[in-house]
Amino acid sequence: MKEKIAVICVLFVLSVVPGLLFVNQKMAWPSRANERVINITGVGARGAWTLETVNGLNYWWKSFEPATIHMQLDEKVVLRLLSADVFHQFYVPALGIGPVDVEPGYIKKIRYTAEKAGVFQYYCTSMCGGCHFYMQGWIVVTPAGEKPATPRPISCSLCLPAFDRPSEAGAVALGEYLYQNMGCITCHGIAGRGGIENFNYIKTTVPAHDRTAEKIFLTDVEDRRTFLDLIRQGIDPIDPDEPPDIDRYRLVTARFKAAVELIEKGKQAARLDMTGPDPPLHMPAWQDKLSARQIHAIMGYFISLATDRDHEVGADILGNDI
Amino acid sequence: MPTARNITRWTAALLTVLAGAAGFCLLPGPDLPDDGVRRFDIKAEQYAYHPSRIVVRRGDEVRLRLASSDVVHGLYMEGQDLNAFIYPGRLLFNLGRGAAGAGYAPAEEMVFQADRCGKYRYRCSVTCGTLHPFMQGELIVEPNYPFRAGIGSAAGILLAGFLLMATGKRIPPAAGKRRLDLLRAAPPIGWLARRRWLQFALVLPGLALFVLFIIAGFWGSPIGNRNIVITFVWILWWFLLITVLLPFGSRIWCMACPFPFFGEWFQRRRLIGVRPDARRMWRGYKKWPGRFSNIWVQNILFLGLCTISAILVTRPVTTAAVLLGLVLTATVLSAVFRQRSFCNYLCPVSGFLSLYAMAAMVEVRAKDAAVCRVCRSKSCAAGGPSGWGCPWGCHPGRLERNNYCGMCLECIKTCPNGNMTINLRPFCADTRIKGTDEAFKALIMVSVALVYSVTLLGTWGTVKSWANVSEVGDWQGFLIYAGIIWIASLGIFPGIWFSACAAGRRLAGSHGVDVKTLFRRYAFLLVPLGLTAWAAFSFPLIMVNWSYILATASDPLGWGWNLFGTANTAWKPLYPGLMVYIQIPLLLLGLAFSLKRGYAIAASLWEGRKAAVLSLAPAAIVCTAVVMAFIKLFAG
Repeated sequence: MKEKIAVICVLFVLSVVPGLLFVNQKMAWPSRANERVINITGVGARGAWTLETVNGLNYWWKSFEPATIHMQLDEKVVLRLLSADVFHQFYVPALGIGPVDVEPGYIKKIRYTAEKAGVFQYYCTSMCGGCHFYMQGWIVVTPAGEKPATPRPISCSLCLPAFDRPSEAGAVALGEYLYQNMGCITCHGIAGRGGIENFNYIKTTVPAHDRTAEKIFLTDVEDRRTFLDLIRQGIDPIDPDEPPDIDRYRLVTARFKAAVELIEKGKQAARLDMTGPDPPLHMPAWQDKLSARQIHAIMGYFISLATDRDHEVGADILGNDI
Repeated sequence: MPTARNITRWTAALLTVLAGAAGFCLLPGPDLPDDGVRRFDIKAEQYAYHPSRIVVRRGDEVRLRLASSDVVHGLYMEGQDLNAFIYPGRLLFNLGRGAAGAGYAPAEEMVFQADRCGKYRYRCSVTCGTLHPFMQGELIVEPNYPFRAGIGSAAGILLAGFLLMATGKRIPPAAGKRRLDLLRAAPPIGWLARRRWLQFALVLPGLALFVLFIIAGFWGSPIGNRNIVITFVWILWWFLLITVLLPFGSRIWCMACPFPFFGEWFQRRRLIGVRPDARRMWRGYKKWPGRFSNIWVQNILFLGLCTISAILVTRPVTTAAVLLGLVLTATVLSAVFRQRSFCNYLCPVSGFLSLYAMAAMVEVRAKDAAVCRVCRSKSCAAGGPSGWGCPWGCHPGRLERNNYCGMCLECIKTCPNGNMTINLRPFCADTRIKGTDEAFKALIMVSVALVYSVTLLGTWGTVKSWANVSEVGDWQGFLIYAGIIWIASLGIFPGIWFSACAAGRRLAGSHGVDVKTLFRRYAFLLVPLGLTAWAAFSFPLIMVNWSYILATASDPLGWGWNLFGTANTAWKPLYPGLMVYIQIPLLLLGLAFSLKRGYAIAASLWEGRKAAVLSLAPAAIVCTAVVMAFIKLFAG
């Protein structure tokens, strides 16, 4: 008799523990009748907010799909935000969602009713590792009966085949490498051409960098070459032992210094509509991530992007932005 | 009875220790700038701070500028209860006290007065990746009196120990001979010990937890400190095992362990009762091969697990896989080999349990040896109508040491004469290390404790990156790390130990006892020392991470549950200022017991006091150095 009770206890334990876990999980989600629960997990290591389940078994190898979140117009949803590794922030400025702090272990629930149709970009707005700047995607709200749009998912190019790190000597090459590898490219565009939209930003799009040379008054090809040589040799162009033969050198260094400082200290993006949401993209402070020499290399890369059109400095580039 | 002579001896010994402590406190400290205000730029990155160690003088105003270079980190300053959230890419960080939220404001500097001397750690307070719970730096406020007093006391205990040895009257001295029959003193324990269902009742909850752990490890959150398998196994279980179960309950864990449960069930075909043919049930099962009938395989497996420990204790899936693997191995083996062969010869936990059980304050023993001598049935070993024969392969009636007794209490039920009992006894009462395998176990355990104290409780990010190979991918560093573990515990430390024993033998005049015997027998010095060092290592784990245990109790899989309302327990170390005041006394206690029992061992090996004392000296000095190394790591 005792023996039978014991066997039943063992079988009970072996079956009831998994069963209870399953049942409790089904009941734990606070879903009201007309609400749909959407689980969104931030995976910093892959640079994705994903709809896939992230668990102990798959976290270490799986490349999680960045989520394209589809909603019906007027649908009520609960966004359940969690993190699989580090601190993230979930932000959809166009829909007024967030920024929501998502700390590992603390699940944040956002109730939302999809009131406007369209394609809206979401972001991770707290730096979360190498892939952070790719941690973006789309919320697609579709009126009933229409075919939902399918925007191209933003996936982390850094998680694709690795870039070769060039030597410190090739300053321009190193700058280009850092520009891509640090994620600058996600906001400032391929080859610094800019054009990336920043919601409610006073200038609408993130500043471009292919005209940096002109902005720091390095309009002459020879001057640019001389200046790049300084960077290449590891000489601080702001304070060289002997001033090089460059026109308006004091002005050049002043502008160069301001640009370097902006990279070091970062800058808040100003709002276009003061009552609107904060723009999602800000210039981060890089001083704790990049050395002075690396920042110079990135500047060198920008300078090298100048085409050889040797024209006078226009009024449009005398503004404050670099 | 305390004689006048003994009072004088012990007073002198106490004064020696106090003089040692005071002497080291009075030594001049390092030269530090005394401008009153000290500024530091601290950069956080996975999983270290740079600088990882800052030294100031008592009374200095400390101003810290904080930055992060990869993900969001925290910085909790012990002793000040200040907490910061550091955001990468931002110049300001959020500063406040207590749990996040109210009262936190952006700040440029963390400012505080270093008003009390000692060692304070700054720890990461925001989950920042796999090794987050071990990310820390240290603030030393000079003069570091706790550290100095600790080092001085260790030296003082060494001197005082030899003073007592040289002046003691009894040779060999009494060493832990007192016993208290627990079953007679507390009849309810006796009643419980004789219940056949006791072991099953203890294993069953463990089994339920085990199932939960496996599921949580595989399908729960990949974040270690948010998954019950990590917090309950590596924080709670480990802490309880080392500080409570092992020293006070011997191998009581082995009674409740679910690993061999299925194997034992299939062998016995009973969960509670006894089969009538209990005495013959081992027919058909193989004996464990003689060549492996030692704990070497356990030593190697243990070192193997230690090598990957930084991965094991931070990734739920690894822990779950290892736990499951151990259960499967135990089950498969028990289909072939007799009884608890897995536990005796393979289980990596069992190895150090067997060693440190020698120090435990309880034992299962025969009450009266004469009864066992004339006993014909030998039921305790072979089984009988009321119980199984010892599953550990011991002959309980003649048990002398705790090492291979799994505390299943089967012999108490089996003995037809009621001659088996549980005794309460002094700390470290078994002193006989019998094999080289056991001696090496003692050396391995101390070496690994040192390596862990550097890796997990230390501030060196490089070492953490080496150990954390599955995330960092630095295989060269990992090889260095693995090499250090294996070479230190199988080469360097045994080498030092051997040299110490050889030197001791020379000092004693080289008669009678060979070095190998000394190497083995003196290895017992490392048992009290090792056990207390592991306890000292384990206290910070629970004092820092207790909140994760509460949180995962309510949310075992990291799925957002809140079963008991504790899921959102905020992380905050528990009395971190007390840490060194627990660790240093523990280490000193271990050293004192090492010397005390060491002298008893030496006196039993050598003729005469002089030879015994001299032969012990080098090993005692090595032990003191090891204790000082631990004090340096924990408090210096």
